[in-house]
Amino acid sequence: MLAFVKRFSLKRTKHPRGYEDPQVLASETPFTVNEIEALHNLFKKLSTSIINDGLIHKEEFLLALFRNSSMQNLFADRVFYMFDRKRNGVIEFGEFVRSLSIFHPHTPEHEKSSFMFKLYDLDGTGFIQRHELKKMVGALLSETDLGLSEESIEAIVEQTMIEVDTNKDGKIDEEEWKELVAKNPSILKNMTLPYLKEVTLAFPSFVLDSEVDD
Amino acid sequence: MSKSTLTDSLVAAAGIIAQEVAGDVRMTDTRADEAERGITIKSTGISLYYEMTNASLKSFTGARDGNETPVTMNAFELISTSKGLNLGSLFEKQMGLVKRKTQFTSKCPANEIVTKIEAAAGPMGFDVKKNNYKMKLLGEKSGRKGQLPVTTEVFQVTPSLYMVEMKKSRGDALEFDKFYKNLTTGLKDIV
Repeated sequence: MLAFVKRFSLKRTKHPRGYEDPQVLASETPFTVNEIEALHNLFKKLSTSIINDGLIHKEEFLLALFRNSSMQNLFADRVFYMFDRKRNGVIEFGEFVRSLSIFHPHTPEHEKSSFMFKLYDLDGTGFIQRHELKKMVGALLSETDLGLSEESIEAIVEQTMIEVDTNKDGKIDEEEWKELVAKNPSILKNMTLPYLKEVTLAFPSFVLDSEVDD
Repeated sequence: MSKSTLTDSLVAAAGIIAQEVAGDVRMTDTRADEAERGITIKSTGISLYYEMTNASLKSFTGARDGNETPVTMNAFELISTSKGLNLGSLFEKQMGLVKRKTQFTSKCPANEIVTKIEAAAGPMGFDVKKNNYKMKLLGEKSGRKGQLPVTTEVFQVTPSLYMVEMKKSRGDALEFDKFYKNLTTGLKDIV
């Protein structure tokens, strides 16, 4: 405890807003303190790439994901929106860690499932409506520049709605979503990042930084 | 309902005769004396074709005939392939890693895709094993981390659109990247 306090007073730690203590974050997520320090190194790289303020702006997020800060992508926009829990237009360090923790291999499936459902619920009504599904299919297909016809997109959406919308009310509620996930667990595969278990190797902190030995 | 009538009903269900005449026609009473006397004397074999839907086959894990269409992908599986949802690339780019899995779409029919992949991978020194629309490509032993095993699967999105997924189960990531780049130049016309 004394060593920790000493570190804090010796080192000038003026952090940008949204910074949270690694010990706190470690206690509330599946990450260890060392892993959070490693994530902080990643965060520092991402959050200073365009605007040097220690906060991840949309352009910096897009740059990191696509190497193109002005990329148009519906899904990346939704991920950014979900990470920006305070809805203040930037991803702060605390938000970064807490959102990433959902992708940790040890996080229970129902949390991943819930996150994905909310992500796909574009207008936040609590349902994935037919027109939202259609918009997302269209968005995906435009990534492939295949130029599919309206009829093909309609066919894909119709086929899925028939399979998933079991109460036939024209929209997918969270119960129907859970049933779909139970039948097709591969739908959630994006929600687990095995890399999260290797962060300390990829973004090592120098020994002096860390007081904690995992 | 008699046995002959039931047989007629099954034949009608397969679309061979009209439902209305089932029972009167007695399709399997093929002998003249059977037809005349209205009785069945000898047993007759008949084959009926029934197409099973992908949904009903989903839980079937046994070997399938090589003739059906690839596994269908629903809209959510399709959407999940978006680059915008692949946060792994945040790490890959920072860690200088190369992807373990990749995919592309094609309008080419599924069996043509399989043939073309085989034709492109063979000369690259890969041994190809096919099982319907799943393929296992095994690279030669001279690789950096031994053989490079790549699994490929073709999924159907709509009857005219397919998605091909390729992933490596172990082996060198750089080799996989090199393999994929070489393969796609060979597959330029279908990607």
